[in-house]
Amino acid sequence: MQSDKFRKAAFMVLSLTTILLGSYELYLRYLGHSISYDDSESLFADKKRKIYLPTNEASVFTGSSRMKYDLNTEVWRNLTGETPVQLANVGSSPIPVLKALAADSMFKGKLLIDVAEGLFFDLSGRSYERPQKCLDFSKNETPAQRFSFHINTLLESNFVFLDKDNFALSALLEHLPIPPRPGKMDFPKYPTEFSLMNFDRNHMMSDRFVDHDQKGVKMMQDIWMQLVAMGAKAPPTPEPVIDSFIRDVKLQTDKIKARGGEVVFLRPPSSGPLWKAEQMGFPRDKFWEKILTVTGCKGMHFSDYPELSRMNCIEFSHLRQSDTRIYTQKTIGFLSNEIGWKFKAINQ
Amino acid sequence: MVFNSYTFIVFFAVVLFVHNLPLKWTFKKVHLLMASYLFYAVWNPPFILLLLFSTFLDFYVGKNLSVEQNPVKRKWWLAASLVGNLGPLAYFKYGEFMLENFVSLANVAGIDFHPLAPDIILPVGISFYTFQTLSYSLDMYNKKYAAEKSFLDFALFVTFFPQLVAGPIVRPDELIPQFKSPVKATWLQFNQGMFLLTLGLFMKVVLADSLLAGSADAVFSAGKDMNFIDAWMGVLAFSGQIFFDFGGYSTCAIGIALCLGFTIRDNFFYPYAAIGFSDFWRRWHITLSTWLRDYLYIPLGGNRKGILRTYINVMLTMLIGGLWHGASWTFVVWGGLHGLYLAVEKYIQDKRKAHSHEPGPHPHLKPNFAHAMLTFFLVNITWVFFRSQDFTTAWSLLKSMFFFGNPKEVVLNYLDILKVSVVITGMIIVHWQMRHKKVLTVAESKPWWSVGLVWTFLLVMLILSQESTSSFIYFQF
Repeated sequence: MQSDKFRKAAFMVLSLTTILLGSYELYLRYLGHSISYDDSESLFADKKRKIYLPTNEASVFTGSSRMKYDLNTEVWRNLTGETPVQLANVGSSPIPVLKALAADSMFKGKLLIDVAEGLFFDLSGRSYERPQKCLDFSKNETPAQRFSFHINTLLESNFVFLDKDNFALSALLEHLPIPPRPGKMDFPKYPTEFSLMNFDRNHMMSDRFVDHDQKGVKMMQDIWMQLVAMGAKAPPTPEPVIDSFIRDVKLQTDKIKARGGEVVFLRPPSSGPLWKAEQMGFPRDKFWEKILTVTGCKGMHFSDYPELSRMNCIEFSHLRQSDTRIYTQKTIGFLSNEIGWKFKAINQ
Repeated sequence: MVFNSYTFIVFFAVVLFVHNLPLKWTFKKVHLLMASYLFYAVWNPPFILLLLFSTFLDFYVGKNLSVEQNPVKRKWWLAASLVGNLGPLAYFKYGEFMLENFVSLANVAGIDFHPLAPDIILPVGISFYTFQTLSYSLDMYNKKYAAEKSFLDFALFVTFFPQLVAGPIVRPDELIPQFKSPVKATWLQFNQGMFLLTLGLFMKVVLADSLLAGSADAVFSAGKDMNFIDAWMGVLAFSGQIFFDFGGYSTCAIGIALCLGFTIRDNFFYPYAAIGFSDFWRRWHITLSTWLRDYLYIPLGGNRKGILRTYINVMLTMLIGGLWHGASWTFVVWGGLHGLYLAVEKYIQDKRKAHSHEPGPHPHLKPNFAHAMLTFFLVNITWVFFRSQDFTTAWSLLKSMFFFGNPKEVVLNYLDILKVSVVITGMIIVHWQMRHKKVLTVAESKPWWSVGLVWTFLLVMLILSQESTSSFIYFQF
């Protein structure tokens, strides 16, 4: 009797769960949502394992969201014939990853670092938390966690509803129409299609978001300008502190170069009032030029290239997908022609 | 390996498949033993050696204690087990803590001592399996039963993967007899086990991780005095988180064992419906509290050596129980507060008994919801020390909870407050309604479709929450 009851219940669970989740999946696809991966520590660790590929087979990227949005890994792979190893983190400084790579005597590869000044020169430590968490996870990842990651990847590659940032229970709850609490500043929830991510850890805005979601675009613009306003309220970092920080960056880049590795800095595009604010807050001669002079590394600043200067970041900070292709081509051209980086596909 | 991971799903599916093949029982037990070692090894393979050491040591000590008649030699064998088990525990779990305190004492004494900071990794589950194996040697010393002859059965008792890393702490006479004859789950056991596994994962993944952990973390890491609502919400969130996390693990463990055909006793019995602290400890982490009662409180004299010794024994047991949870003085205070509560409760009960002329329970002690809520309130005060990194955080939070914080400092948003309020209210209602019932008994009394609906809800929410890899809180203990 009891056995029969639980058997019937178990059958009901299997059937209902399949129907409910299947319907939800179909509904999300009907709405036009596509596969997007979770920017997890496991995925970071998976990419980080590739830093030891031979120099002519991979390039490593680190930095903030601009590196993740603007450098198109698919284009990179097609044009260079190499594996792009994306180690940048949204809203983060590249310094923890740079230090980890510098301390790793096995790393002798090509490294590209993006300079989003507000994050690169953030010495508060807040922008170090996320990359440090990823690095710690990479170091301590257990075999069980790695095995789970591979199964998770298989599932994430096939089901839209497993997009954790947008469709997990906690993400869905955050979309409830609950007013903000006075005195509590909350970071607004990003529009769903602002931050899609592929398996390379390459972020992108969907064309639908860029072309049709004016409210979402405006919201993102407001978020960036709000962050700029908050940054403007903070007391300026004294120049000697900045100088000391850049000297420390030099120590790290020197370590990599001493082993035969190569380091190049990139300053990806930004637009509108955000670009103006960045120019005011971080004058090029005192920050960007100083990095290149002190470290002795080469760099590519978007404003030096008319084609890139004309690009319009719709929400002020990141490129639309069509522009990321052009930007990536330009970057590869710069690295290959002006710096002499060797790429598998180009130099064969 | 954690239960809330894809790796475990694959592992468990393979284990279930092999366990149900028509093979010899000995082979199945070897398979379960190997699976248990694999389950443990995927965290940190070298620590398998500690587990093996503990297994060999207690099996050997038990064997000798069963034949040795000389009282002095018996004491030596017991000492060997105590040192062999508690030594590694002291080193791995309390090494840094002892060194820190030694340095502090040396500095107070004017000695400028700065040793290198040790980098000791705590082997997962060491506190649990140490107590489990130790109970065997202690039982053998007390001549409770005959020594186990089969090393395979004993090793499986120590390492049985469902309860290896975070309990329930199983006694030898509960589990080893189940290994003596072939065991295979019936369909009823299998389905009930899967139901419990789903329920346990729902408690851990959905309630603890997805709905409560964020608020608890935000409040306990705020590092400042705050509004009393935020302070209370943070502490309530943690009281729910710790129950759903640990209770969820135990429910999973019981369910997994049941799917294989084995029975493990309950570790939680709706603790937030407890009326008083003796009742609380009969409902919270039952296998630890009974372990401490049987192997510490009673050997210390229990309540047989006068009223003062009873209070001292209660306090000592709870202080050690606190320290078992972690190498920090905040855990000692947590245990001390529970010891104090138990002592005060005993004092009041003794006084009332002395003044009551009627037999049976005193009319004022009739259980009611207000008593349960008073107990819950006082338990929440203890959680402040349990969860706080240090006494500064604990003091700041206590001040804030009792209106001496900073009313303008808010930490949580309305969504956090809503999540905590709904989950904690639901938890209290369920605990009170279920305080004398078992979940499987209730499920058996309901129509199949209602069990199916609830089970589907648990599973769908579990899949949608997508919180698949975070560790269980009690793994660190």
